[in-house]
Amino acid sequence: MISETIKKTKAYFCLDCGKCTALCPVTRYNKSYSPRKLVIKTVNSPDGNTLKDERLWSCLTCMMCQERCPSGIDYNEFTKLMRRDAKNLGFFGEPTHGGIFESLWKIMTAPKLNQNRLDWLTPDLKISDNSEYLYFVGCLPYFDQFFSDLKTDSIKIAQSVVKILNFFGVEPKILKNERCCGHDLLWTGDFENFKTLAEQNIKLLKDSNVKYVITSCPECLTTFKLDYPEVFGNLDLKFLHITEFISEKLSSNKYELKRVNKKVTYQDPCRLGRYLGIYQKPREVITSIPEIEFTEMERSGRNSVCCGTSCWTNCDRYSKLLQIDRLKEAKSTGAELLLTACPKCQIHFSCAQKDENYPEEGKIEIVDLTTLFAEAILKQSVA
Amino acid sequence: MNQKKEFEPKVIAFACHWCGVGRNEINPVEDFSNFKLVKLLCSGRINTALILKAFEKGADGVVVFGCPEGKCHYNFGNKNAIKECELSKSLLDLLGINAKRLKVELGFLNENGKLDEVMDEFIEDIKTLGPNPLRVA
Repeated sequence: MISETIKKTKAYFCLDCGKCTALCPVTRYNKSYSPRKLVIKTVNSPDGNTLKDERLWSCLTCMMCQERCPSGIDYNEFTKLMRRDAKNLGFFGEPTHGGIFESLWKIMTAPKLNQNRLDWLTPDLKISDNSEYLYFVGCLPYFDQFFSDLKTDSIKIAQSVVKILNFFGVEPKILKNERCCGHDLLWTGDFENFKTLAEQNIKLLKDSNVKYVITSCPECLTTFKLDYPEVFGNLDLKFLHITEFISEKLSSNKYELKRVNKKVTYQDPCRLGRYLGIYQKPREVITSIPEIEFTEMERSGRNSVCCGTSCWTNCDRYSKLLQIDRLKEAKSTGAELLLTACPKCQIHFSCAQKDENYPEEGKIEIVDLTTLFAEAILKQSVA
Repeated sequence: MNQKKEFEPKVIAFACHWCGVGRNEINPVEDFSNFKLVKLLCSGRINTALILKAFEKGADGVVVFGCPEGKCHYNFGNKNAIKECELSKSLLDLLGINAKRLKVELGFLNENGKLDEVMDEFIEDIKTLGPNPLRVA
C-alpha cells in the first residue's frame, strides 16, 4: 500500500530541502503542517503511522509545492493515495458543513436517481438536444440552494454560461441527470464512490453524442481531463473550460461587447492554473471587455494562492487567515471586483467576508468571470 | 398491490428532549416497532447534513419533533429546525427525492397517543410513496 504510493510518487527522491514547506500556503499559517515532514516520515517508516496523522487532511492540493520540488515528487498524488489508504482504515479529515456534501455525492451514486435540477433554465436561455456542445453544469444548483445565505448566486454562473454560448451561436445540450464529477470524493480518498459516479457520467456523456463538453467549474474539467482517463482510458471527447471557448471565439471573429467601466483583478483557481496550465485564456477574456481596467495581484499566475479550502474538508481558522490575506491582497490592487473562474473560490471568499470581525481593508466584491462577461454581451446573438 | 403491503418503510425520528417525544425514560437511540428514534437535546441540533445522512444510509422517511412555535426551551432551537428542514427539502427536491419524505412536527405530542397517530399517518404516507429511490437497484 504505502510502499506502492512511495514508488508511484517517487517520494524516496525527497532531498529534505524544505522548498515545499517554505512555500506551502497552509504552513504559512499552520506551523504544525509540513509537507516535507510528512514525506520524510512516510519514507523513513512506511509502517502506516502517517495514515493516522490528521495533518494529512490539511493539504489544499493546490500543487504549489509540486511545481517547485527539485526532485519532482508528485506530492498531490501522494496526498490522494495516502488519503485513500487512510480512509480505508477509518481515518478521515474534518468534513465542513457537517459532511453534507459527502452525503450529497454519495446519494448521487444511486443509479435510479431522477434529479430535478433544471429549474434554473429560463425561457430566454436556448438549449438543444441535437448539439455538438454539451454544457456540464456540475454542482451549481446544489451550491445555489445550500449557500443562499452567502448570496453568491452560484446558479447565475450556469445561466451566464448558457447566455454566452447562445451569444456565440451555440445552443448547448444539458443533461438532466448528470452526477457530480466525483472530484471531492476522489480527493478525500473515496475511490469507490468516485468510480461509480465517473462510470455514470461517462455513460451519459457517451450516449449524448456530443463532441465538446464545456464546464464552468475547473474541478470538473480537471477530473474529466486528468482523472477519468487514468481510470477509464481516453474518452474521445474534447473538454473545454468556458474561458477557453470564449477566447477561441473571440480570436476567430470580431464581436461587439458592451463597455464595463470597472477595475478588476483575477484569482487563478489552482485546478485551472497549476493543474491544467490555463493562465492566459481567462485573462484574454477579461481584457476583451472594452474599458475594463485589469490589474494583477502580487501573487498571480503560477504563484497564485489557493482560496483556502478544498473538497469541503478541514476548513479551519488557518483557512480563514489565508483567505483574509488573499482578499486584502486583491483589494490592495485598487480593484473593485475580484473575478474568479471557479464557483468554489467565490463561495470560500464570500464566506470569509461574512465573519463578524472581518477587516474593512479586505472587503471586495467577488464575481465569477462568466457572470461579468455575460453582462458585457449585447442582447442579440451574432450567429 | 401485494408488493406494496410487504414494504416496511425505514423511518427515523429525530426528537427533541423537551417536547416530550424524546422523553427521559427512553434510550438515546430507541427502536420502536415501526421506526427508530434518535434523541436530541433540542430540535435545534438537527441540521441538513444529519437529515441527508439518514437518506443516504437508506431511510425512507425522516421526522423531526420539536416544541411548538414560540415555546422552545432555548428560545430559538425550533426556528433553526424549521430553517434546516426547509433547506433539506429544497435539496431533496433537487435530488429528485420527494420532499414529503421529510416532516417537521412541532408540538407537545406525548399525550393521549398523539405521537402514535402522527407516526402511523406518516408511515402510511411513506408506504404510498414507496421505498427511497436510493435503495432501488
